[in-house]
Amino acid sequence: MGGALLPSILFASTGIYSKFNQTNEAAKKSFEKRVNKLINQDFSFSDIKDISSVKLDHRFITTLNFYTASRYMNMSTMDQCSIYDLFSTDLAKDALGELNYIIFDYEDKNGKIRKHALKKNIFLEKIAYEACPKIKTFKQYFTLANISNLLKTIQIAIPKSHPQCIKMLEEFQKDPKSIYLCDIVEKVRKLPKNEIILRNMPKVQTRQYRDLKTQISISKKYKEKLNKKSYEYLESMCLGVNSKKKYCDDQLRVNYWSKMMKSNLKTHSFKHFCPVSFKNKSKLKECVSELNNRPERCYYSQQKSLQPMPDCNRLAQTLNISRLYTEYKDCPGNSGSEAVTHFSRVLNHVDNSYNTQSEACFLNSSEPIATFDKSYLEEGFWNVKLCYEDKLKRKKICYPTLMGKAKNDDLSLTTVVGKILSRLKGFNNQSEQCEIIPAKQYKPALLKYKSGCWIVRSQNNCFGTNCKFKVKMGEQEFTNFTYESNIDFDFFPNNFKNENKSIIKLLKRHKKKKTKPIRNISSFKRIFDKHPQSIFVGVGCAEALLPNFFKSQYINQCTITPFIVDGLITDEGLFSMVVRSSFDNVHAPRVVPWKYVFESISQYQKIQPLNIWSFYALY
Amino acid sequence: MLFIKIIFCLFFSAQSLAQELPKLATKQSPINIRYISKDGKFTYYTSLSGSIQLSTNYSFSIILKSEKNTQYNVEVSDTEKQVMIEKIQKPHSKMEFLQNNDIYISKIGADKVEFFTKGKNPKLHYQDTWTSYFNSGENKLYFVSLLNRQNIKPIKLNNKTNPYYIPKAQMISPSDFLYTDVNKDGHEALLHYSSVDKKSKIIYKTRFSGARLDLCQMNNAIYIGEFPQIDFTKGSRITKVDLFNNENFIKKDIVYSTDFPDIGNMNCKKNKIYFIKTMDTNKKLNLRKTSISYLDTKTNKITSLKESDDFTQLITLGNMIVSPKGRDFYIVNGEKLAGDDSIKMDKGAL
Repeated sequence: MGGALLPSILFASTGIYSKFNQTNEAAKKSFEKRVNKLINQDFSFSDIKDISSVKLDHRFITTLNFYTASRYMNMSTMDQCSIYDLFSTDLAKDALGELNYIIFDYEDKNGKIRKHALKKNIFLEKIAYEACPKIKTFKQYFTLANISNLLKTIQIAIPKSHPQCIKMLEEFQKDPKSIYLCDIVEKVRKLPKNEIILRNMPKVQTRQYRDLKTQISISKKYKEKLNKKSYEYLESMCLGVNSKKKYCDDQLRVNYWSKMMKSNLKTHSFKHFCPVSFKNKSKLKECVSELNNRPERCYYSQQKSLQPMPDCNRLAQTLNISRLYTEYKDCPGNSGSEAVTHFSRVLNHVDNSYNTQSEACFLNSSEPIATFDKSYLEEGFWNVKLCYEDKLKRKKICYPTLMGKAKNDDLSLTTVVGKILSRLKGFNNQSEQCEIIPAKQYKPALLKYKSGCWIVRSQNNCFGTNCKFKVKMGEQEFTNFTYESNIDFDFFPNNFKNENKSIIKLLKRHKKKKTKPIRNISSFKRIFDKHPQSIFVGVGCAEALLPNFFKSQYINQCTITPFIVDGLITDEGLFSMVVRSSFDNVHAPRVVPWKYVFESISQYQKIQPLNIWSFYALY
Repeated sequence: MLFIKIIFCLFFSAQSLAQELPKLATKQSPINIRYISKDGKFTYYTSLSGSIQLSTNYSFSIILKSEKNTQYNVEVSDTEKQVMIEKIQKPHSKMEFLQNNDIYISKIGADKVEFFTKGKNPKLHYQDTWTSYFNSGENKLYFVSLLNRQNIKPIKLNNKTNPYYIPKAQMISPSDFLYTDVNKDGHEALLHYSSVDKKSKIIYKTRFSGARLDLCQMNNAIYIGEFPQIDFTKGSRITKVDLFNNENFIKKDIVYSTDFPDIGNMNCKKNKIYFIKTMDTNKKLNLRKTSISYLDTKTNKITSLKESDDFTQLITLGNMIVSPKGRDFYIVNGEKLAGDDSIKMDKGAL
């Protein structure tokens, strides 16, 4: 998917592209003309005065520099032999693609400097291997027959610091083995692309077809010889050798946890995985060392969410690039509604003042919504209420309620119960307050529970939107109230009548946020790069978004899940996103390929009542 | 173990077919289809008004009506005697995965349904004489006899790690039940509960935490797929456990094994286990290049049907196994029937 979008980015300014294309075509023609002219000149190897007088043609070197990947050119600039090493691989390129001819200068018997072009294999045999005889033997180590033995000698090193990392790369760059190893890596890397080309090629026995088939077969054999770990290591070294800083940043990023510890940053994400005091340095060090050395340590946590969570290495990668505001405790498994979890995360991000920092973590999901509702919507959709019959007024009175001791005291369960008790039982809610306790702790035989107001909360069936509890006034149970819970709101419009009540519209109106539908990576990247605070909100089917967690059992099954995207990871024209579904802990984002994100939105669009595309930028 | 791997590699490399899959084409929009019976006589489908309807060759009837946009999941077993319907109300605005839904039951083809219980993920067993469902709030798995509506003592799950976990259930006999659970370290296990002994025993436990189990019951054996959810370095495997003449289920045969993290999502049909196999990975992008493959349980041979990383799910629909992609379903296995609801596919679809 991502790959398909790449041309659209490149072709965006067609004027520049067509000029570049014309120049490129002209360079190809000129190079071809030059080679043809030179190979037709009279030449005999006996004309060369001395093999050491052979020098590569200046213009040829410029062409080589332009068309060969700079990371491999830089490996070949140590001496003349190192560039002949490059010629012995398939890494060197000229204007026509694969390097087939080499243009060089030589001194003839009369002392005159002459120019000639030779086929690559002839040049290697007659000149390069004569000048640098060791290359011929050395090359043999990298053949299919010998590579397994060579690989055994390669040590996979993991850098622990920046200077060490840079040194490691410099050594790799200087090592004559590297260019041959990178040649193998490139052969394996090209394999998927070549397989597609071959599949789409008419199966006529052309030379091109046969050559490609042979190339694929060799690449496959190399792939088999390289084990996964060595391949990944060599690939990262070959690709990173020319951008040392980026390579080392990426390599050392896995130590995000160490970075947090050193910088003394008490982020909630860090505290979630290392819940130890920053004052206790030894414990902290121990925890960080465990996160770095035992990636699976992050799979499970006490806070209820979709588990296993990503491993610590993955989290180190995503938390470093993630931009969503997450400075609160989170437990989506206790919020009671995926819509509530999602909306509160968005609210906390667009306006940090909604952050309640509540210890009862489900309140961090419900309270921002109840507060937003109270401020802008005249209690339009926080429909969790405690009600009682007012016999004097002959009507039912209801109060919006949060299922715990909230920052916004008016909405606290303790305050609301106190208020109802004061009306119906003469409870003095000015001087006394009810207390919430879990059912397990409530021991009616104890003196402490013989007086006062106790809200005994069910151990298992208690969520932010729905909670079973009993009210005890001393030894008596108070039952003259009803409990209503009906959380029901649309994140994206689900019908035309209530379109303006959807969250996306409300955020636009009340929080002055801009929104834009996102259908491809180009538009994603445009907003993502331009607006550092932007996040992307979507609704999709969990079976398509997280297929290794949610299995489709029935046809057209769609577990509707809202999600937030706040990071992008790219590799070879493909894209993945940093995603938090409303099942995931806010401190444990997942890396989800763009094609899964896209598919999950497409699947959801099939059943979305207004058939809308439900993936928007919010900025 | 090594021997198995070698056999597997030999077979696999020879069998990649890379063929195009036909699209499922029906008179109804495929989006509305909830079930098509094996003989094609009955089609269950939903309507925009929020009802679920049944169409037969000559008539149709509304079997359950609810408010607009109500979602329905329809469970029918291979026996095709009973139908269980899970009704999810206000799915777009409520999004309460942990709440139980209304579950209904009827005879297949009948135009009346009966409210059965509240729960999630109903499944029919034992020639449709038993059913199981999960009660999310209680964290209990129920097995109920449909002959007398009596249930065995509900099985309380141990799982405390993942609140969104739904156990898989199978039955061997009216007193032997199989189900999955997760321990505190995140190891998923397949357990055997005997209603005679009133005890659960572990049959199989994942080798590492963070792996998922898939089950398939076929030919007096249970096939257990073990697939890593997170770690790309941990491999996948399918193990066969004979259900009879295998005391305490001790004898286990690994019938498939790979170093790649397959997605799995196993479906079984006529001696074949269909699943989503990983062919290659990109660790940085958490990307798996996948193909729909099947394991022939007679020969332990693997065949890849289509090399594509766009397919991630497999679903049994009557006599077909289908895979969703975009707005369409692709037929992975199955024959077109004379009386079914599907219309002739144009050549382009094939």
